[in-house]
This record gives sequence, structure tokens and C-alpha cells, in this order.
Amino acid sequence: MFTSLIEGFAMWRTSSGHAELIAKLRIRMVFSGVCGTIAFSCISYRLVDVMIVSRYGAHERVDHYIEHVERKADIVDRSGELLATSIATASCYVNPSVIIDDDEMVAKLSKISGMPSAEKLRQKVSDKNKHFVWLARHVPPQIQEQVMDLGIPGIHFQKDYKRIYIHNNLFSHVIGCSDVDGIGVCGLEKNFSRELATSDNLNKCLVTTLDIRLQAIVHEELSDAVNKFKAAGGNAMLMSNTGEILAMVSLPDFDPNNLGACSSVDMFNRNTLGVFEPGSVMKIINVAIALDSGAATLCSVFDATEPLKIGRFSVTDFRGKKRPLTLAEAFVFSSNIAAAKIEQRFGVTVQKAYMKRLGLLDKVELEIPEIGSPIAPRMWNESTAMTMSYGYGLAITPLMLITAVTSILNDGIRIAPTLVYGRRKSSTGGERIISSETSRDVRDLMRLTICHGTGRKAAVDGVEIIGKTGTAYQAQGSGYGAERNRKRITTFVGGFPKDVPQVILIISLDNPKATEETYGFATAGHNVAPTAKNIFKRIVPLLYSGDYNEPDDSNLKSLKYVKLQTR
Amino acid sequence: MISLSLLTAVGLCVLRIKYEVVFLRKKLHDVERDIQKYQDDIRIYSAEWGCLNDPKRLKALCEKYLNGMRPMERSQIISYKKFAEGGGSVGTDYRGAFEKFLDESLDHKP
Repeated sequence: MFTSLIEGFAMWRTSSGHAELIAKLRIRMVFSGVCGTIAFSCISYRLVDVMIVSRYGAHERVDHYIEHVERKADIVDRSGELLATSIATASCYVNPSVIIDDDEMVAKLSKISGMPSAEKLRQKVSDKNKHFVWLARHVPPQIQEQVMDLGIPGIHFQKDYKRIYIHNNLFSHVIGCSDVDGIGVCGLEKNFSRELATSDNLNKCLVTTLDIRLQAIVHEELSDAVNKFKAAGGNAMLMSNTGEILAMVSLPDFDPNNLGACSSVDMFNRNTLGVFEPGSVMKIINVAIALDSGAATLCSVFDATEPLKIGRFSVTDFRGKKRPLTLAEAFVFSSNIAAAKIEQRFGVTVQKAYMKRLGLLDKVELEIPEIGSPIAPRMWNESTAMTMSYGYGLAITPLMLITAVTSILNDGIRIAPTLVYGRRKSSTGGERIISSETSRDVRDLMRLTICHGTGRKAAVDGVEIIGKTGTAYQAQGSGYGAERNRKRITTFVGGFPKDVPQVILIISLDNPKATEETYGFATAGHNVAPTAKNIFKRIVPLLYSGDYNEPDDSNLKSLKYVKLQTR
Repeated sequence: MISLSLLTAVGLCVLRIKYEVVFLRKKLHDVERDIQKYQDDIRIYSAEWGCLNDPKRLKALCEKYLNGMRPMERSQIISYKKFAEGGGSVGTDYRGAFEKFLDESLDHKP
């Protein structure tokens, strides 16, 4: 049978037409071979892809995640000095589902400082369905090494970024702080939280108008004053005549690197949130309104002999002259009675209109979220207008006050405060609030106050400092408290040089106490004025490069309306 | 046959290009990672430099090492014009004093 099959096959091969069939079969075999080769090539390729190429793919995915870890852009001062930055750290996490021996892991890890306690560790790994639980954020390298040396499976480190504040509490309120995830909590950090974290801005930095040298000086002098006069707190700000804030300090302050230790009191920014009745510094506004509206001139006379009765209250002067005073004298000697009488000249409507234009009735716009609103009287009548003329009845923030005063001193052109360099508005492009002449007269009066008035202790040799002091009682409940329990707030607003003020300073102390050095007085002239002098003395050589000449105050326009011998 | 050869050649080319791309991507990734690392290092150095320049620290160092030196005062500043004139309104020979200071400094230079 087998032989017959071979013979049949031989016959089939030799028969005609079979040669073509064999040729076809050969082509089909070659084709199948090629297809098989391609298929096996594909499989081989895929094997290589899975074994080699996909390894890089996996690597890429991990790094892709790392690249999206929150890192924020730096914050620098106007000279490029670093104030806040993000540095790379490692954060430790655990995958509870792969932990083999909980007891061993807890025993080993809890011994390392910086890691959670044994109890917390046990709690963190108790849920085996979880795959990711933070153990410790921003672990120092030496701790990381210790943990890695333990070789516990399921304990991993991930790249992380920690926000650090180089100068600790020096810029605490203005720069603000961030939480452990880098999200802004307060200050510029909160306001620009999204912009700072935008990938387009990562290699840029937020340039502030602040100057580290001035900030350090103001911080040091204010701290000394708070300690010296045993004040509950204090605040100070330096502003350029273009509205750029050069320094902003509020005490008590906090260390933004240690957010856990901060209290809400420490985080309160007195400069922008603290509203209070500023006292006699409001006479700058009062006099400016009187002069600009034409209601009075420098030589207008107001009788300050007797206290002024307003309903059941009476307006009195602190160590008053008890005689008729010119407007110039009323300002220089800070007479409340004369201030109220000056207000009577221009009235409620004019006062309200000017205060609105000076921005004293609205929230000031600034690049930090902590901005307080003014507290204006519900009934703005003649008596409240009179109390406002010497600084009561209207509670405002120091930021509002310095903005209004700077606008008056800046030749009467309104300025907009800013903390971000390059965002300032042109000083000539602002709205005119008062005339140039009024601005000059107010500067003259403020110079006279330094030379002969309540601000004498703020005078600095060789530079024409201008300024005005104010002491006010703090509102407590519905009134100002009993006489012996009254709390004061003392304020100084001033700047230099007189003709074109480049820098304006506001400084306040919360309830300063009298000392032997102040002869038992706790008024602004005895505590904030000398503090202002200390600040001016140190910042003038840094900012003012004019020739040293003793100021000549004999040609001040308002001088001839002031009887100096009466002091 | 020609088509098959071409197909195979193109396939091989694609495979090669793909591998080249993969390796280039890896190289790029490594370079980017290095840049990131250097940037992180620079940031740490900048932070350290900032800490070294902290005003409180500098003040303490000045008080410790710069004996007799004190912050500049207003009276010590004059304009270049006045300096070039060689005298001030208060009768100080600024230029003479400066030249004397320079001479003394140069003499004591090691």
C-alpha cells in the first residue's frame, strides 16, 4: 500500500499541470514564511518594548508626577534680595498594604527623631486597604538616610518642596506664610498663591517694593520702642511719594517658618487691618481741607481760650495756649478747640467730600488680602464732623492714613499704595485732590511742628524732616473707659525732605507707658517722635544724597503766623 | 518581492527611528532632571547666602569685628560737586582729608 502511494505521488508529479501547482505552493510557502517572520518580528519587538522601552515609560510617569510637585516662584525685595523661596526636600510616606510586620516597622521607625510616635505610626498603617499615607513631610537628609537604612518595605520618599522664609519674622506680615503644601495662608503669599505656583512663572520671581535695609531698621527701632515704652504692640510703614511701600512692620509678629507656633494675635497686621481713631494726626487732613476749600488761611484766627461745648461734651486742649490761635499755631501746637472751629468754617459736606477723595471712607486696595475697612459714623452731623477734625469719630487703618497724607504731601496728587515693584502708577498721572499751594503750606506747617511744635523730638540734623504727632484714647466698648484705665495710641506721620518728600513714615505704639525719660508723659511727642527720629537718622544717609546743610527754616511761609515766644 | 523588501526596510527604519526617539527622550529627560537638580541646588545656595546676609547677623558681625566703625551719618555725605571744589560750606577740606586718608591707607598696605 505504501509503495502504491509513492508511485501515485511520482505519477502526480510527472503529470502535466502539476508543475504549475507546485510553483503556486512554493509562493504560498514563501508568503507564509514572510508573514510568520513579520509576526514573530512584531512579537519580538513588543517583547523588547515591554522589557526595555516600557521601563523608561514607567520612569517617565514617576518623574512626570514629581515635576508637578508644588514649587513656587521666589519673592525678592526691590534689590533682588531673596525673601522667600522653595527648596527641594523629601517627604516620607507609607504604603500600608505592603507592610509585612507592623510591630517591627513601628518599633524601628518610632526610634528615629522626626518620625511620628509609635501610637501614631500604628494608627497610620492600621488600614491595609490604603496605599498612601504621609508619615512625615519635609524630612531632613540625615533622617531620610536613617529611615532608608532600615530597609523597611512599603516606606518610601517622594520629592517635595518646602517654602522657607529667609529672614524669619522680619517680613512676616507683609510676605505672609504658606502651609505645609505650599498654599498661601496670608500676606503676599496668599494673594499671589496661584501666580507664584504657575509653571510659566517658576523661573521668574515676585519683585516687591520692600527694601530689606529699611525694613531691618524700622523693625529694630520699633521693637526697641515697644520694649522701652512697654507698649502692647506697634506698627510702622515707610512709603515713597509714588506709593511704593518700602517697609512694613507690625508687632507682635511671628516666624512664618514655624506656623504652628503662631497665634492669631501675632498674625494680625496692624498696618492694614487695625482700625483706630488716629487723633491729632488727622489735623493734617483738617488743615488741608480748610486751606484748599478757601474756608481759612494760615493767618485765620480761632479762639482757643475756652473749651468748646458740643452738646453734653466739651472739646479741650492738652496743655493748651488758652488764647486765640492762628491756623498755623493751631496746627503746630495741636489745638483740638481750634481744629473743631476750623471744621465749622467748611462744614460737614465739604469735609465728607474731601475725605472721600482722600480715600479715607473706602477700603484701600493693596496686594495683600488683610485689608481693613474704615468705621465711619452712622450719623455724619456737625458734632461728629467736629470730633473728626481732631481725629476721633472716624476709625481708619494706618495704611489709609499714610496713603491720604502722602497724597497731600505729594503736591496734592493722589497716590495708590503698592507692594509689587513696577505696578506703581505715575505720580503725575494721579487725580489731583488738593492744590499745589495747599500741599506746600501743609508741608511748611509740618516742618514748623518739627522745629517748634509737638514733633521736636523727631528732628534730625542736616535734613528737613516734616511731621505731625497724634495721641488718642482707644475706644473701649461704647466709650473710652474710666480716666485711669484709658489706653492711648500714639502716632507720628512725617517724612523728608520738606520740598519734595521722598519718604513718608507712619509709626504707632499701642498703649505706651510713661517712663522717667519722658517725665511721666505717654504722649506721641515723647515716644513715637523719638522713635521716628531714630529711624530717620539711619535711613536718611541711605536714601538722601544731597549736600549736608543745616536747614534754613527762617523763610517758612507760616512762621510769621506763629508766636514762638509763647512756648 | 520588491514590495515586501521595501516594507521590511521601512519597518526596520521605523523601528530604528522609534528607538532613537526613545533614547533621545531619555537623554532629554536626564538633562532636564540634571537642570532641575542644579536649580534646586542653586536655590539652596541662594537661601544660604540670604541667611548669611541677614541684617541682624551682619549687624552682630560688624559690632564684633569692625571696632570703632559706626553707621554713616548725614553729616558725612557731600555731593561730588562739593568734593571736587575741595571744600564745604562748613569749612571742611574734604578733598584734603580724603587724600590724607588715601595716603595713610596706601602706606599701611602690606
